[in-house]
Amino acid sequence: MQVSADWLKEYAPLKASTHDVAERLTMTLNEVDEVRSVAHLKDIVVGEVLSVEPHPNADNLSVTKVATGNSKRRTIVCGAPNVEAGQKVAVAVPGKALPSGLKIERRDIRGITSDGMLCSPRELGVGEDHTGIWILPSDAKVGARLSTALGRRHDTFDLEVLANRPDCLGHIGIAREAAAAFEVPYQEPRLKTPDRKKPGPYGVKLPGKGCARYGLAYLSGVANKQSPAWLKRRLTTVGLRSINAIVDVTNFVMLEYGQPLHAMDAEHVTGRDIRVREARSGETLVTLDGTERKAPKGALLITDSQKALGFAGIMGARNSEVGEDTKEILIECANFDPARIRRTSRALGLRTDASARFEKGIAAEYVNPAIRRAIDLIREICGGELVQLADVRKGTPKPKRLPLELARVNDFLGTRIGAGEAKRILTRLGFKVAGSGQKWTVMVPYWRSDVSEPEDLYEELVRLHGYDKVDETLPQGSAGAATKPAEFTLADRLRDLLTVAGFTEILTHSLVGPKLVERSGFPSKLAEIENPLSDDFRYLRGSMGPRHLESVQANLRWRDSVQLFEIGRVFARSAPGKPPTESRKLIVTAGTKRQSDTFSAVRGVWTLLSDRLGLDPKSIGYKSVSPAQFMPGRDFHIMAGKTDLGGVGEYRYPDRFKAAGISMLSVDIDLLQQVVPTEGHVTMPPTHPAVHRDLSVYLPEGSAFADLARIVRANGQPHLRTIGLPELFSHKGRRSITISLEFRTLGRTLTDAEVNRLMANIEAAIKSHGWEVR
Amino acid sequence: MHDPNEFEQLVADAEKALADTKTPDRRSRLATEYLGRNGKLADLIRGIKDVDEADRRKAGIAGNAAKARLEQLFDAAKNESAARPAEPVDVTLPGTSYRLGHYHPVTLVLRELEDIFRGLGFSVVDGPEVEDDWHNFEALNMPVDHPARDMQDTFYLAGSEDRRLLPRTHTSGVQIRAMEGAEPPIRIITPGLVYRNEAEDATHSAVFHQLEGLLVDDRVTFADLKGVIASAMRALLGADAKIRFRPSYFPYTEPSAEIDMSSPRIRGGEWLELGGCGMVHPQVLRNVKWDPAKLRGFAFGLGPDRIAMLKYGIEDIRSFFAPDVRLLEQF
Repeated sequence: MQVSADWLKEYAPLKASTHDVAERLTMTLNEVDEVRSVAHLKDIVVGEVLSVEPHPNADNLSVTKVATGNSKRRTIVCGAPNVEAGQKVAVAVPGKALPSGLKIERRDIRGITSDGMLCSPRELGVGEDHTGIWILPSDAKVGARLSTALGRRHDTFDLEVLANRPDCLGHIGIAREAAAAFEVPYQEPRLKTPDRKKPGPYGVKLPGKGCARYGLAYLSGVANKQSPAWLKRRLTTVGLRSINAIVDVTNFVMLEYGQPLHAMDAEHVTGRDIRVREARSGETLVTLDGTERKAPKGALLITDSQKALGFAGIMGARNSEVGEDTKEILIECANFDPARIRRTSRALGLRTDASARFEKGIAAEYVNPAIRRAIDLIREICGGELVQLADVRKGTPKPKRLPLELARVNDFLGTRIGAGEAKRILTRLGFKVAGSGQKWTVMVPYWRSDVSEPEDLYEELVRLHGYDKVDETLPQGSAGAATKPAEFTLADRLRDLLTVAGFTEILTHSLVGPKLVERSGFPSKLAEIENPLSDDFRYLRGSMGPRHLESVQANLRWRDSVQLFEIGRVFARSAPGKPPTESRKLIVTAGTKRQSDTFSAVRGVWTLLSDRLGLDPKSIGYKSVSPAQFMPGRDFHIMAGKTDLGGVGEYRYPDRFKAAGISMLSVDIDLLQQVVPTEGHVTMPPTHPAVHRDLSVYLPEGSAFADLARIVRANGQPHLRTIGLPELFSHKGRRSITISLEFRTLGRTLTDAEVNRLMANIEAAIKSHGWEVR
Repeated sequence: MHDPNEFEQLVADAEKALADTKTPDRRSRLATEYLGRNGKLADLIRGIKDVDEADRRKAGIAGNAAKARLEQLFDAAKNESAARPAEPVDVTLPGTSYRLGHYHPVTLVLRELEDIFRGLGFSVVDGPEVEDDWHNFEALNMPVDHPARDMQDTFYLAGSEDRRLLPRTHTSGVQIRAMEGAEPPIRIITPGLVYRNEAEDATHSAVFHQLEGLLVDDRVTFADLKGVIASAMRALLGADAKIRFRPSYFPYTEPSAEIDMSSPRIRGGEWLELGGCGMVHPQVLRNVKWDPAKLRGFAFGLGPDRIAMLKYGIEDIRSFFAPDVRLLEQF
């Protein structure tokens, strides 16, 4: 909410500078985003734009004539899109400097000499806005220094109002907080309109649900007009437009109490029955902004005997708009159900100052002071008589009382707040404290709907005591040894191994779109987002593959080859209403710009991982399934028994991603974790030498190295220890494979004869498969 | 018939060859030639099996002696060469090039945070990324239509109108799951990916990381929360980092605070927002059937992506999720 520092002073004598008030509120209430203060702008003067002409030599520039006092007229070239004749603007004149230190000089801009500069809020250090020049209030005195012309009267800051503090949606609430923080008294406006109902012609009917209270004032014989300067200034300072006195008063009271009001021209209201009711299906109305809108289901309408007068709590109808000629007015000051306002406002796609406040759940008690304040001001400005003051409500909430025990407060917070301080803090915030000694009863003021448990009071105490004054201590006791899921440890191990192997870890966006998925050719049962940001983020990823293909393409722009990996979740849609299946995956991707064997690079990663994780090679099987996205004959699934751990494949359409070759490994980390042995079995280094033999075999088409290895291993027992890395040759057009075999036994050296016998066994077995030993 | 002199001859040949050899490289090749698995000595030793039984023992002894002598010769030559001053090299050349991969910067920050909090006794706990309404909102004191739900713009899964499913907006659901299935005390952190329906820009990503923490026992205080956060952040950012708490609002904590950090090495020491925290709201404890009269706790949430951005001077959060190896290779 945009807060005027000067306005706050109507309710609390704050002496501190705007910056200090903002800083104190940041530390006791909530963050102040942006302070706009002109106290330091002694070198900038107020100017009035007399005329604006297009620059003859530049499309985006204008040539302005600006009065800067002492009947001085300057020609200033300006690039801002929002400059218009009649505006009061901030002028930096030649010879002076901007807060940034930039010295302003007379200079030639495309053939026209610019005699100064019109400044944006950002250039003056009073805001972030740099989309155009700063338009000053119309009553700023031409030629005056900005620092004195605006004074503190125009200082503002943006306070982010916390979702649980609707009482701070108006200046009174913020003044109350500031007064408590600075320990000064605070005073709400004194109201002249008596605090009692006044019977009159209008009847008010409330629905069963959705409207807790409805105040209606009927004023007759008012003379609507332009608002007085003070009222215009209040509104324009915080960014609202002045419309006419009656509308301005309703806005002013909203910004004061946080309670929205709506004024209607009574002469355009038919009959004397004001009814709040649910909209009928298909009902439409034209709102104040001139748009015809269809009432969504559950919307509340304000109606007269014939028509709808507005969407309750959101926006009034154009049919009863208050104009300059309005003489009879109805002022509505009501309280609507936050959830319903929220839903209707969403469904309408219409968020207003009023709906934003009602959504937060403001207290129904505001109706009384707010409507009386509005009556006071309208009568003061426009005259007229109060004919009727109706106030219909459904039940009166009882004030909340909470027990408070100071010892418990300090025990909970780890503080030493004294009884005197605690009482002062609560009282300044409007709480009433009763009871003596340690046990108190605290009565919660109506505007603090957020306070409903003793812990809520602890927060009041500690934030005004000062979060800064809370010690830093460490918790006592222990919850036992700190552990970590095995999958996390495994994922860390995988990262370590892959980075050592030269692969770089990436993270990709886990929302994907149909275009990418289709292009990738990855089959998928994707879980869809009902309200995606855009089509490119429509699904939870079913595989990290598509995003990796995209990453390969992006990075091959500056590399000849890329080696990437990622650890993350993937999702598969399940039965309607059931959460998608989630699995933690590792994906490893190698891509190249020119033709080369990417399969081997990724295949080697699996060999490395299974070796370093200590998987038993005998328990792992390989099964080719050739899914659509992989080249037939260049993929396999890794099977641990019947469990499919993942697989390796050479991607079928690398050209779609501007690559010559892309291969991928994907492993399910949770399943992998289940087969990684927790205890390793080592073989002590041998005490006796081994015997090595080489074996070369012509491997026919369609048979795999793994088949050969299995035969060799089975027939080399009991002394065959290891089979070395295979070497492949093409020999006379046939595929020849050579492996080195190591034989060893415990406690002695094997004799040649023993090894020869085993070699003979092996060769015989190979031949019995019809294969040829070279 | 095997001539034992063959071994002596072999040793003599080796001595001569060694004397003519200048470089360590050649000497090492020579050693292989004589002592290697298929070397000259091995050849001769293999021949022993053909020697008459009467002489076999003798030949064996000669073979072993020759082996010992050769080993001694080559060892001595090696030690000599090691002691001999080598040719000077250009030490400014970079040497052998090793091609290692790189960790993602967010992984580095997450690992560091996990280590720090484990040191403070917090166990790492994981949970699903797709949550139901109860764990993501209701149990955390955000019933349907609670205005605070607007604070976290939410994606919903299509087809879940009856029983809402959503990519979690924070990892707090994991904390609820942890409490539902356990007995106090509890000290956990829950790192992970979260989702928000927010337009993406330099400081907003629809997916990002969180690391949330939860401690519940019978005595923990707000001051303890401040101490844990301050000591963890000093461990992460340096002993000269300053931490401050500011009032805030979260439906699941009371009192609540924003965590601000200031470090002389980061953006000139200005106060920067790191995350939020507070004492667990009594309603949250009641929701998991724990008694707020006997138990209390604190919870906090940090943004590892944001921390990585501050720590490494990265200006656009989207660069974490749109991989560019030219950036990542710097880690």
